[in-house]
Amino acid sequence: MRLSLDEIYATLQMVREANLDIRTATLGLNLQDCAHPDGAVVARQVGERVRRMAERLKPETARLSAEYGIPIVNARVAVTPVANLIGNPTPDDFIRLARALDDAAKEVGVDFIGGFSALLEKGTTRAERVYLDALPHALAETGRVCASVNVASTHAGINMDVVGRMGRIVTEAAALTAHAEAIACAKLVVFANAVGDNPFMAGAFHGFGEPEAAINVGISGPGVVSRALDGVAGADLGVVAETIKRAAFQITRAGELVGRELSRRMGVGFGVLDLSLAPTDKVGDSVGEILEKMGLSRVGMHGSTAALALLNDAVKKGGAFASSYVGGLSGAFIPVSEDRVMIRAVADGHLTLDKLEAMTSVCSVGLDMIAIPGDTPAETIAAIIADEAAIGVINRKTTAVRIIPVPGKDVGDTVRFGGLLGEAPVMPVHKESAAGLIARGGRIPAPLQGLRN
Amino acid sequence: MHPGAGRVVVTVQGIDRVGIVAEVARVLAEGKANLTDISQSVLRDDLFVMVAVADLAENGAGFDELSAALAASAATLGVDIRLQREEIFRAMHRV
Repeated sequence: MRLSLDEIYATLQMVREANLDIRTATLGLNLQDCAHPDGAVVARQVGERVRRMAERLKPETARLSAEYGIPIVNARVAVTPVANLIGNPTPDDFIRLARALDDAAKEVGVDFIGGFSALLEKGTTRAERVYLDALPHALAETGRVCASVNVASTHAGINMDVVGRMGRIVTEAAALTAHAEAIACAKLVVFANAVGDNPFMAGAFHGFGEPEAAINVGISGPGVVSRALDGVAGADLGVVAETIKRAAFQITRAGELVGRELSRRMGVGFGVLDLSLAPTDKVGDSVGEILEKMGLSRVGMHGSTAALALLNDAVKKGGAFASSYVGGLSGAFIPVSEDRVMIRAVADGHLTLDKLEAMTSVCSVGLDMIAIPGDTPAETIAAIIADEAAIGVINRKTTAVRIIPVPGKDVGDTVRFGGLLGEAPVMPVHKESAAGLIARGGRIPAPLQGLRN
Repeated sequence: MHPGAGRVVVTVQGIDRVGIVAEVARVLAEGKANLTDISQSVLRDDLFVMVAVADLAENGAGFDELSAALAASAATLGVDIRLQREEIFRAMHRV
């Protein structure tokens, strides 16, 4: 059937004026067969594997982007969680491995490589404890390597020993990169219910149970949704939900097409399409703006959680119909530093950490790219992680914390991370202590929600 | 299939002037691309908009070649010309 002019212009307008783009095409790579007792062998094999498999990723995404006329903003690589790859590791082995990943990423031209990760929701092996020792140094000494640690799941409960440890690791990573606004912390995600096919950084890794390689695509388009809402000013929320569904459908179809074509050209299977509305610091490319268009004078006000719940659900409904395989995180992201409207609401004092935490219970992921005062105790950071993990575990969803205690900075300061990571006003945290809770350690048992067999 | 073969959409936007349609048609014909649909109008007296659909031939210019030729025409005419594969429009607007 003939395409109408309206259809053609609608697509062009979405790209030109509403920042429609494919946020990321992420190549997931299995590295399990690179495992070896000798860390030097692992580093060499891993470097070779990434270079060989990802060599064509950048050129192919650039070509596809030109042919379809839709920007593919990022091409990235995610690998098997590395904590289990070295038989009898020392911390130096993991740092060498991080450097090998960093070098390979540089050579194939990808800005971030994820999977410097460990899944520790129920306990740690000896190798994983060595990994945790090396983690802050590995992040401080590399530029492109992204790490994630899963500390909880609905099935296993919350590993509070590791939660406490992650509080200290975040603090140490911040100290090691104090000269660069604690940038190491922006590359470290602490998860509950982590998924192995998420294409978005910094939390992407190639999970166990995944094939040898897969292309996972993350779509975006807060600007498209925001534009669509301009057409329904004053309409009731049922109409708003329907409008968002339609926009999500169109964005997702573009992502599905690009993902399938990229996987065909790369000779790698198509994994999933992740339907996440991911903001950028461009004007108009903001999740906060969508919430304000629904009728909030500022994001962070009472009503923000309800508005976000509607948005997140409508995005999923429209997207699920448009793609054969939906996965990853799928929902709306609310990374403070990458969203202009969120930044403004924080700077003006309208959006607090507590409200953000509430909002993460109804959207994908969690407390993302939050700058806090540099003197925040490690136990407080651990407690923030524990709260977020509890939301994920009880609601059977993924939650994450990417938090940055910036040395020498306090409430009122703004931190500039540069590039895609944007800038963040330092947010206040509660001053009373959770040290007693964190010091208890142990594991919070799996909730009844986890007993579904 | 020839790597460049398939259906493409050409969109043109810019200040109206003599010879835009002729130039786009010339480039497509030289690349052996068969023009199957064309629609154009002038908005607000001087904004020229045009959408053309064409089939790239097996033995004709490939996508990249045609894209480069149209970019050269765009520079000469002082208008914006885009070449895109048709699938993207179809995917976004049809179930």
